[in-house]
Amino acid sequence: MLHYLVRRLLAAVAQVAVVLVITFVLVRLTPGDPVTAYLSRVQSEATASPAYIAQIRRELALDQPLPVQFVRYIARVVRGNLGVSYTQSEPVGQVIGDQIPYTIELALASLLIAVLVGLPLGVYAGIHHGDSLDYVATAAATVSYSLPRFWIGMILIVVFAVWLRLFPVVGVGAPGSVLDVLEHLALPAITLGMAEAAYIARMTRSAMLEILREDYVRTARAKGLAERTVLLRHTLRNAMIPISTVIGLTLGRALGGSAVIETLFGRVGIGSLIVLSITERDYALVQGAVLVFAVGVFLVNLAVDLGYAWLNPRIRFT
Amino acid sequence: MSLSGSSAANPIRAAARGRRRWRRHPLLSHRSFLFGATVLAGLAVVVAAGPALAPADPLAINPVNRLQAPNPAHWLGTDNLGRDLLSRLLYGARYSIAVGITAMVTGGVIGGLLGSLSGYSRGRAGIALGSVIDVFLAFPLELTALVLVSLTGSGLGNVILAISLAIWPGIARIVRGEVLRVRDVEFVEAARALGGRVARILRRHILGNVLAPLIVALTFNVGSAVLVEASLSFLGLGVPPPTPTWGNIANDSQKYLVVAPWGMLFSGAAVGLTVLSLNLVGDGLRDFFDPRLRQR
Repeated sequence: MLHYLVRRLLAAVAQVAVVLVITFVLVRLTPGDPVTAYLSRVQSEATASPAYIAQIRRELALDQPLPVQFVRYIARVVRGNLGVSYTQSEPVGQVIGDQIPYTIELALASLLIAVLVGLPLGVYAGIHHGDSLDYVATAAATVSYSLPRFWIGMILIVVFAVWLRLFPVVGVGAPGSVLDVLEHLALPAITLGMAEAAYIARMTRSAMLEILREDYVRTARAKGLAERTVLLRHTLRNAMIPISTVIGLTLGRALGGSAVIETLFGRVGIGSLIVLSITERDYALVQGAVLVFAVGVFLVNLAVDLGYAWLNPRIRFT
Repeated sequence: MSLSGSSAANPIRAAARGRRRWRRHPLLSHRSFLFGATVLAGLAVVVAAGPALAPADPLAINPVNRLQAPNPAHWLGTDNLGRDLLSRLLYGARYSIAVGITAMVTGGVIGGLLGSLSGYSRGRAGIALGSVIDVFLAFPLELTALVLVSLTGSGLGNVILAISLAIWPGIARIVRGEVLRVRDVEFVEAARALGGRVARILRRHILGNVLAPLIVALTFNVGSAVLVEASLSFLGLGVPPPTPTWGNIANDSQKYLVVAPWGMLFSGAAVGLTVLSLNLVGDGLRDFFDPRLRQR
């Protein structure tokens, strides 16, 4: 287990290193000169003297060779300095720090909905394999998984916010009011959670079917155990090993889907921040947000892998 | 003499046997595959004959007819500029399917090549390539495409490129896993022992064994590409307007959601039905290629 742990942690460090290279290259690949792009935002490019342009280039270390720029970039990131966002006029780290709780809140709420809906649906479909409700559950999961999230979101907005006036459409709610926050969270979390519930249901059904065919399940039945015990203790418990991985991956996918959902529901968060920074061509913010996002997804994946190792004795005892 | 002779002598019986065999084909008794394939066949007709089927020019602006509900003159209504929605959806099918298939082919080639190389190579090169695939795989599909579009800029070609670069890691992982499974099988070792070159061994001995899961993965990825394109266009970062992609139609109708929801309804339904059909066909192919799943 220790060997696995060390190996997995080293892999995570390597992954973060690759992301650092990618985010560094990202800005260098953007068309046009970053200094010109910066000047076009803060003042008229035409009025900037060549001396001033050279000074900015020096300040941003753009006059240095690429390897030197890369080392300085790494040193900056390690110190927690992600640069300054010129659209927000604030350090990137601070902008991201202000908005990340809203994305985490949305991702966790959608994960909760996905698990509460998808897991029982998948378990039921797996146990009652072949009956009409299995077909209905599987069909519902397949349809839900195929629909565009923005479309589900817009339908929920029209029905629950416009027609029934049950939920507000835009914003994240007043920070002090739990009820207001939950009301604002409901529709985006359901939108994001529905597709993920379908994914979890499909995977759970598949895992249940796989385990139900195992010899030890047949043995458990043959020795006369109650069906409930066979299903809960022998089947579901073993099926939870792959399902837990799927649930963990769902969190990463929910984070990825936050860009569309946060934009659609006018919520602040890392997803809508990335969309905004892309449309505003604020590359320091794109770079910082992508880096933080990637590290977040890696941490989730790392936790999933470690959880998998902990749950699975075949890895735990090797 | 007896069997072949009787078949040749009795063509009616031979034809009946052929029909039975055709009917017995596992994919033809797979209901979801049949549903998906039928919808996709209909979509292929729409893509091929779009301009002939469209009742109006999809770009023709007519402010007098703006935001009309479905009616006999405009079967699916009109958008905020009075453009016929049915015509825009029919033309939109061409763009969405073109993006889906081209991105799938490009992503499939990149993913297939890198996945097979990382699976086949031993030592550090294989591990390094596998780690690179894992790193890219950790990025959610939509986010990767979003960031890449920010680099390349919007436009049909750039969107296809961004989606291709976003979907290749998933394909590479599947190919890598399959190649890892096959590379030490006796017939591959024999080819290696006979001095076969890597490219030849991959092409002649490994590709055939990887093809089935690759086809399934590619089918699912066309659906993913269609979904991502729609999301990018919906965010205003995909194919620029007035090109009638399904995502653009949804984006146009967003502001008029309450008074004229049909643009959003029909464009989203078109995306959903297409992706659903592709997923059902993918499910059918997966069940067909994996005999263990046929019974489920």
